[in-house]
Amino acid sequence: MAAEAVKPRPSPSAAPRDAGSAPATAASAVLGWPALRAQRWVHGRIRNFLGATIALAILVVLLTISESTFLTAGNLKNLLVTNAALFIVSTGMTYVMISAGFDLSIGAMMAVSEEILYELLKSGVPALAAIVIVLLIGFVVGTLVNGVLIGVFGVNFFVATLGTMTLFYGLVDVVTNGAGETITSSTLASFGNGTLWGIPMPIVVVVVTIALGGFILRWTPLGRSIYGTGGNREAARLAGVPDRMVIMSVYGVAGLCGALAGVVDAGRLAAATADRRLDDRPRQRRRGAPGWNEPVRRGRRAFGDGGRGAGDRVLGDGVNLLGVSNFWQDVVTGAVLIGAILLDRLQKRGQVLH
Amino acid sequence: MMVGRATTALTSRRAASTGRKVLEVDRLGAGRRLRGLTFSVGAGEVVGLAGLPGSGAEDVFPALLGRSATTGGSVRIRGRDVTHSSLRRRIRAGVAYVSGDRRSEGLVRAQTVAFNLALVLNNRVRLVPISHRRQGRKVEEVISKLRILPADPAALVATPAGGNQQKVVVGRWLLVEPHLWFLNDPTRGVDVHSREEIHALVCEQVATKESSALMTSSDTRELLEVCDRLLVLDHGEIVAELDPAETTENKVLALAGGARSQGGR
Repeated sequence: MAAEAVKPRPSPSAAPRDAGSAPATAASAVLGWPALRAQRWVHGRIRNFLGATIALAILVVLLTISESTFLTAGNLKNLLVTNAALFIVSTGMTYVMISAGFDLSIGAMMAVSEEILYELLKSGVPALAAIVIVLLIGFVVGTLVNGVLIGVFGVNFFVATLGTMTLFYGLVDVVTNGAGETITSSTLASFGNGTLWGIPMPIVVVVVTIALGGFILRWTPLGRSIYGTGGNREAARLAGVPDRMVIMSVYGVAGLCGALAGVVDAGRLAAATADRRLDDRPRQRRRGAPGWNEPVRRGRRAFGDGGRGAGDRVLGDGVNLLGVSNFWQDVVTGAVLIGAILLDRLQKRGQVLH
Repeated sequence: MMVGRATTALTSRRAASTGRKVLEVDRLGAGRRLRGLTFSVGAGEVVGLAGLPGSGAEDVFPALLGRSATTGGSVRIRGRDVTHSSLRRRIRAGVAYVSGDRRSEGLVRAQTVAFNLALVLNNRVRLVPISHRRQGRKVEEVISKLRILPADPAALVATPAGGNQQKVVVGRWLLVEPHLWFLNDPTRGVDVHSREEIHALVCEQVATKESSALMTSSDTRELLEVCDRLLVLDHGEIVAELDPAETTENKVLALAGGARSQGGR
C-alpha cells in the first residue's frame, strides 16, 4: 500500500489509458504471463486433485502388492468398462456441480432411459433411432423438469432432484413391476460390448464424453457462463449471463449424460435394470456427496470428480478381489472415503477461499 | 405531487437542450418507494442522483434494470421501450451496470481477472468455440488501459486490492462498448487513485464514445465532481435539479433532507 502511494501517478485529469505512460511493470508482467500461467496451471491441477489422486495411488499400490491380478490389463480394462456409465454420469454431474447445484435424479434417469429404450426396441423402432430418442428425452426432461424447477422457479436443487428421482424410479416400477427386462438388439449390444479399433466401445464413449464435456466447459460461451453462474449467480446475471438458461442447460446435460449412461449400461448388460437403486444410487450418492460443494467454492475444478469416481470403484473392485464379504465392503469404502475427504479438507485449509 | 410535476417540466426542458435522449424515464413507479419518477439522460451526459438513504435513490437502479416490480410509467433506452424487458434485454440495448457492491454484484471471486473481464463477451448459451487468444488480447488491452494491478490476466480476481477489483468490474464493459452506464456507487471502498482513474474513464467514455451515464454515490462530493447535472430525490420523486458547478454539498444535502421534513413522513 505504501509502495502504491510513493509511485508517481499521472495527474487525475490525464486519462489513465494514454499509452505513453503505461507502467513498465504491467508490460513485463504480461510478457511473463505464459510461463507463469503454465506453472499455475500445473500447480492448480496437482492441488485440485491431490486428495483423490493420493487416495487412488495408495489403493492401487496396496492392491498391486496384495493381489497379483489387480494390475493386469484385463482387470483394468474390466474396471473401466464396468464403470463406463459412472464416468459418463460423473461428466454430467460435473456440469451441475460447477453451476453450484447437484442432481440426485441422474441415476434414476439411467433407469428411465433403459426402460424407454426397452419399450422402443420392443415396439420395433430401429436401435439407432431408439438410442437417439432416448438421449433426446434425457436432455429434454433434464432441461424442462429439473432445469425449470431449479433455474426458473428457484426450487432448491436438492429438493427438486430428490423429487424427480423418486418420480422416475416410481415410473419405472409402475411400468415394469420392479422386474428387469432383457434387451436383445445387436446394435445396442455392440454399443455396450463391441470394440472400436480394439478398444471396448464403452471406453470410447467415455473418452468422447469427457473430451466433449471438457471442451464445452473451457472453450465455449456456455461453459464460461456455467462457471460464472456457479461462482456468483447475481454477478453473472448483472454481466448479462442468461442464468436461467444456463441452469436449465446444465440439468439438460445431466439428463443427457444419465440417458447415455443408461444406453451404455443397457448395451453392456443386454438388459434394462429397473432396480438400479440397489447398486448405483447409493454408490452415486456416496461418491458424489462428499465433494459436492468443492467445485462450487473453488469454481475451477472440472474433472476431479472422475478421479474420485475411479477411486471409489477401484476400491470396490479391490475389496472384491480381496474376498471381503459384501457387508464389510461398505464399511471399508466408507472409512476410506471419509479419510480421503478429510485429507482433501486438511490440504485446503491453508488456502484462502472467498 | 405538486413538486413532481414542476420537475417534470424542468427535466424535459433540460433534456431537450442536450439533444438525443439515451434514457427516458416517465412517471416510473417501482418497488415500495418510487412513484412518478420522471427524468431523462441525454447523449454524452453524466447525470447524478442524490438522495438520503430511504429517499428512493437506491431503488432507482433495481427499477431501471427491471429487478423490482414496476407499478406504472415507462422506461425507454435509446428510444426503445424496455419497461417490461428482462435484464438481459436491457443489457443488450447497451446498458453497463457497475455496482459498488463488487463482492455480491460484480465479481466471480473464485475466478481469474481474465475470466471476470471476458464474462460480458461469453454471456450466452452458445456452443461456438471461443478464441481465447483474441479474448486474451482484448483483456490485456483493458488491463493496461485501466492499469489493473497485478497486470496478470491469470491472477485470481480476489487477489488485488479493492480499487483494482473495481476496475475489473468497470473495465469489463469496455469490451462491449455500452451506450448507457449505470454507476451504482461505483467507487465504494476504492482507493483515491483508482477512484480518479474510474472517474476519468467514465468521463472519457461519455465524451468520446457518445455514451451516457447515470450515477449514484454515497459520497455527494463525488457526484458534484463527475456529473453534468444532479437530480435530488426525496420520497421517490425528483425534488430538485442542480448544476453541480453552482452548488455545494451542503446545499444538496439540505435539499434532500429539507424536502423530506416538509413532506412530513
